[in-house]
This record gives sequence, C-alpha cells and structure tokens, in this order.
Amino acid sequence: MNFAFTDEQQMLRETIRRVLARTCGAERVRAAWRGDPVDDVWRALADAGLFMGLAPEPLGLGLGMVDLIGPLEETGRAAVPGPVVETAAVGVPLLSAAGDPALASVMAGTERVAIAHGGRALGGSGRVYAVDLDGARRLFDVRSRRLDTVDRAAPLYEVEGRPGTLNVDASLFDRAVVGTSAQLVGLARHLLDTTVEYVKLRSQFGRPIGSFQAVKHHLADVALAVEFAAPVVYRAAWSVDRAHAERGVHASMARIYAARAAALAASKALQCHGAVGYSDEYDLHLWMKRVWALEAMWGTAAWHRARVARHLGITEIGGR
Amino acid sequence: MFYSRAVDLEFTPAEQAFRAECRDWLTAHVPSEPLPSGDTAVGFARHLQWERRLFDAGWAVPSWPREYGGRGATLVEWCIFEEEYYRVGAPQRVTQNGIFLLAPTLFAFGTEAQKGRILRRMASGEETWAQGWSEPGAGSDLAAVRSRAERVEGGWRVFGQKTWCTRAAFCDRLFGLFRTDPRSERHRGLTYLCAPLRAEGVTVRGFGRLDGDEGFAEVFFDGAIVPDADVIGEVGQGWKVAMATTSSERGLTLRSPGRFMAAADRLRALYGAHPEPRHADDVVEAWMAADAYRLHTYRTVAQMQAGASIGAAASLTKLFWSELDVRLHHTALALLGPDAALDNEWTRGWQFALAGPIYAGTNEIQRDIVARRLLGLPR
Repeated sequence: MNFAFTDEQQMLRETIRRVLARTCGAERVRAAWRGDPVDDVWRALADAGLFMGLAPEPLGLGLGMVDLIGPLEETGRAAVPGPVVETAAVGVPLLSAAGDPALASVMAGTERVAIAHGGRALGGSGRVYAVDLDGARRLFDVRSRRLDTVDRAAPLYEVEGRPGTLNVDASLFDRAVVGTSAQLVGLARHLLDTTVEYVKLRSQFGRPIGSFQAVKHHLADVALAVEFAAPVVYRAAWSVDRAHAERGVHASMARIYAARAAALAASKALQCHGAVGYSDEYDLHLWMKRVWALEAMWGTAAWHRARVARHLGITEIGGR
Repeated sequence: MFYSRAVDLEFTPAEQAFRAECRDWLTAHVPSEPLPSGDTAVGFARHLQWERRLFDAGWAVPSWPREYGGRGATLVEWCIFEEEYYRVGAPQRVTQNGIFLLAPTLFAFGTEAQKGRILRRMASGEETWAQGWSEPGAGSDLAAVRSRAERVEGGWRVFGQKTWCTRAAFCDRLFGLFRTDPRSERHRGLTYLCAPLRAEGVTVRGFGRLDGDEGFAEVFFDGAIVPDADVIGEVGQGWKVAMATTSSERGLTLRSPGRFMAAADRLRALYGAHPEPRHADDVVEAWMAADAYRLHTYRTVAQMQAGASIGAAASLTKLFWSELDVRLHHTALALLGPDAALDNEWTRGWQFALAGPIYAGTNEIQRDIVARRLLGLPR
C-alpha cells in the first residue's frame, strides 16, 4: 500500500499547470465562448506531452491513468475548452489500439477526438467514436448538429453515423468517467481558490467578508469536499490501469464524489461572490458552467449511484 | 521516458501476512460474548483484562517501538490492525485516552525517563489515563483554562476543576493543562502536567453520558501534588505541547477507518434484513463515505511517511468522520423503524456518534480552523 505519487508524476502535473497558467487564462476560455478553437492552448498541452501520455511506446509515452490524473485535474482547474479528456484519456488509447493513422496528429494537438455517448459528443467534427460500456465503434458518414449549450466553451453535438466494428475495450467508458472526475476536482479547486481570494479582499461592514463565520464555514465545507474527493478519483485511476475487478464501482464513486465537490464549490462560490458572481462580465460563471456541463456527461449521478448500489447487493436504486 | 507507478493500493505480501496474523489472533481471542460497557465500573475492569491479553500478545499498541510493548508496525499495518479489530467486533479500547492522546505527546516531548516510566504501564492497562482538557468555563475555548498549579519544593500543587474527563472515575491519572503563571492569559503561562486521580487533594465525581453510563467525570483539585518529573515539556510551554495531542485526537489515530468500515458493513447487513428502498440511497452513501475515509487515510499515511505533518488538516479528518458517523447511525435508526426506540447496539452507537461533532473541538471550531489555517481567511 503506497498512496503517493512519484516525483516524476508530480513534475508532469506541475508542468501542465505552468503551461496552462501561461496559455489558458480566463480570456482564452472567453475566446472559446466566441467560437475560437484555442489551438494555441491545445498545442501547448501537446508540447507538454499530455496527448502522448496514454499511447504505448515508442510512439507515445506509455503512461497510465495514474500518471495522467494530476495533469487532467490541472486542465479542469484551467477550464481548458474542448474535449481534453475525450482526446487524451479515451481517444488516444482507442486510436492506438485501432491503429488509426490519425494518432500522430492527435498526439501533436492538431486534431481532436470526439467521443459520443448517448448520441452526444463534446466537439462533433473530424473523427467521431461512440463509446459505451461495451467498448467503442468508429462512426462513419457522420451527421452532426450543434446544440445550444449553457457552457459555450463545451459545445455539444448530436451525432449520428454508420457504426464500424466494435472495438472491445470496456475500460474506455470508465476512462472518460475518471478523467472527467479529475477535471471536476480541478474546477472545484479553482473555484475554492478564487473565492478565498475574493472574500479576503471584499469588504462590507468595515471588515473583509472572509472574517464572517458563515462565509468561513461555506468555504471550509468546500475544502472538506475537495479533500475527500481527490483520493477517490486517484484510486479510480489506479483501478483503470490495473484493470481492477471493481474498476466500474471505483469510477462511479470518483464521479459521485468529484461532481459533488465541484457542485458545492460552484454554489458556494456564487453565494460568496454575491451579485458580482451573478454577472457574466465576471469570470466566475465560466468555471461554474463548466462544472454543470461535466456533471451532465458520462452518466447521470443516479446511474453511477445505482452502479455502486448493485455492487453492495442493493438493487432497489435505478438510474439512467 | 520512464515513469514508475508508485501509487499502489494493493497490500504488499508483508502487509497481507500482517493482516493474516492479527486476524488469526483476534478471531481466536476476542470474547465470544460482548463485555459489559467499558463506561461502567464493572465493565471497565473487564475491559482492562482484555487490554492485558492484547498487551501480552503484542497487539495493544502495534505501532509503538518494541521497548514500550509495541511491535514497530508501520502506519499502514496499524490501519490494517484496526480494520481487523473492528471487523471482528473486538471490545472498545478503554485505554484510548492514554495510548492515542498522551502517548503521541510523550513520544514528541517526553524525556527518556518519562517514556520509560509511563508508556509500558499505560499500554498494559496497569496504569490508566484520563484527559483533563475541558473545564466548566473552557470548552471549545481551551485557552480559557483556569485550573492552576502553584510552585512548591520539587513540584507543583494543583487547584481547580476539570470536567468531561472520559472514564476518570475509573482511571488512575489525568493529563491536562494547568496555569503555572498566575499573571498569564490565554495560551501563555500554561503547563502540561500529569496529575494523580487517587491521591490526597483530589475528588472525582462520575456522571452519566447521554446513554446513561457513568463515562464522564468531573475532577476537583485542591492542592494535590505533581512532582517536577511529571511535567511534560517545558514549564510555560503547555499550549504547544497540548496541540500535538489535539492533532492526534482529531486526526487518524483516534478514529481509524476500520471502525467506520465495520459499521458500514453492519449497516449493509441491516438493510438486507430491513430492505426499505426509501433509505437505500443513504446506505450507499454511508458505505461510500467509509470507503472514502479509508482512501483519504491511506493518502494521509503516505504523506506522513514522506515526512509531512498533519497539522490543521486534522480538522478536515475530524469533520469527515464525525459527520459520517452521525449519518450512518441515523440511517440505521431509520431502517430499524419501531425498534429504534429500543436500547440496542445501534441506538447506543447513535448516542455515541452524536458526541463526535462536539468533542475534540466542536465542528464549528474545526471549520474555523480549516478556514483560518488552511484557507488563510482573516480572523
């Protein structure tokens, strides 16, 4: 039992964090809202090795989800626009296994992979794969229609296509779930950090509002939720790498804990920012809406809860 | 590029062997009938006999060095021991205030002579310890302590009242904070002392907890003698010394994951016997929370082994386990239905769980600590 990341793993995470601090500020997220594909951010992530991670050597780095989980968390912290998890954690292993020639441009950050689940995909052009619990199929002759989304930097497409042969890798769905969970934890950390800074500066009744106990306790609750969600997510990444018998349960738990922490962080952030946070001129909403977007993807909370319940022998809970 | 996958949540062969060893011993030795409550005089004595058996077999304090009666187990092994201990439903630990609260302080601040004199006798249950933090006017606000110690030849005479002293009616000695500088205020001028409970100048009065057992006591000091040898750390540095203990109390040593995992498994079984779909979700929640607490603990253990100290993060741990325990037992009562009115294991557990958000610093204080010390919010 050793629940510690190596220096190399922490270094990769720090690298991604630094790269994103430099290239992906709130103005880039706003650019994505206006329809800019933010290729520069994607290229920077590719240069840092994010999209080569899960491709086997010698083409890629031959890493596992455990190595990538911290870096993915950082992409959540920066609210990187586009299908980062779908590309880095699902698309790359999928294209590698399928021998898809697009792998090289995907690893270089110039092509993104759209992964459809339930007929919807984040990003809908280029290569589209459909992933569910059984595995993945490439979709051919894809017809896609962009939907209006709350988070315009996370554009969803309704996709239809002629399915190719089944690529049997049941881990792909859980890779998406776990990667999304890591992003939710990163989003929660950003929301907590920025709100802490805000309540230290914002003064009312002659004192910083962060000195009021009600505000303190809101943020302590967020810290608590984030602190206890992170290890659940890291365990799920380890389970994916190990093809653990309980991988699905661990992934669902990761998703439940991460989504709860992020949703709490979003609602407390909004409350602690007061009316300022309610304006779309302020950056807070960009992160809050990403939380809502990710919460609605890769299985509902009820479905994940039902998967854990079945593992416990409790069959009375349903969920889509 | 080569990356080693250090995160490994499988137990090593050595850890598995350790688990098998404690499981075998516990299965063979745990009393088949539950002992009477350790928070009664009769039950306390019975529990001390059990502590003696644990000690003789080297299981009372597995993580301590061998010279003090331990077996030098790693923190991971200690967590494994705790998982096995609660899994088989072994008796409550009536020595816990000594072994989990005073002992970490002694390891950090005690002299060799103090460790030699106190630790083995504590671990074997020959000498039992109560904590003396709270006073009628000093609960969450521990720095308001008014009990005092007056300098005399070779030691101190102690005066004042301590209260909520767990099992002090049955214990031999008490550790706590006393004001040694009469002109001092708040955190300054306090000293960490080990005081006698069965001596001239001490009156102990037991009283009932929420469940009616005489688990609490108030202690009145009226000039009892504490020799210099029983001062832990330096005179006047008591606050700093005590904080080392409160961190252990809130952190993983007092409430290891094992007890909540065992409780969550019992809750699952209870659901099997009373399958009420309206509460199915709460059962799943309780089980997940116990599992999340286990994972968080192993993560903390890894960080401690890398040299980090828990510090204020112990407050997060305390918030999590205390609130998980209340929710878990509340769910059990809901499943029990009419039987929730009866005096049974679950209703006793519920009443015990309700103390969690109050003792070791109320959860309101813990949230203040998290906000101030972890998040950096202003006073």
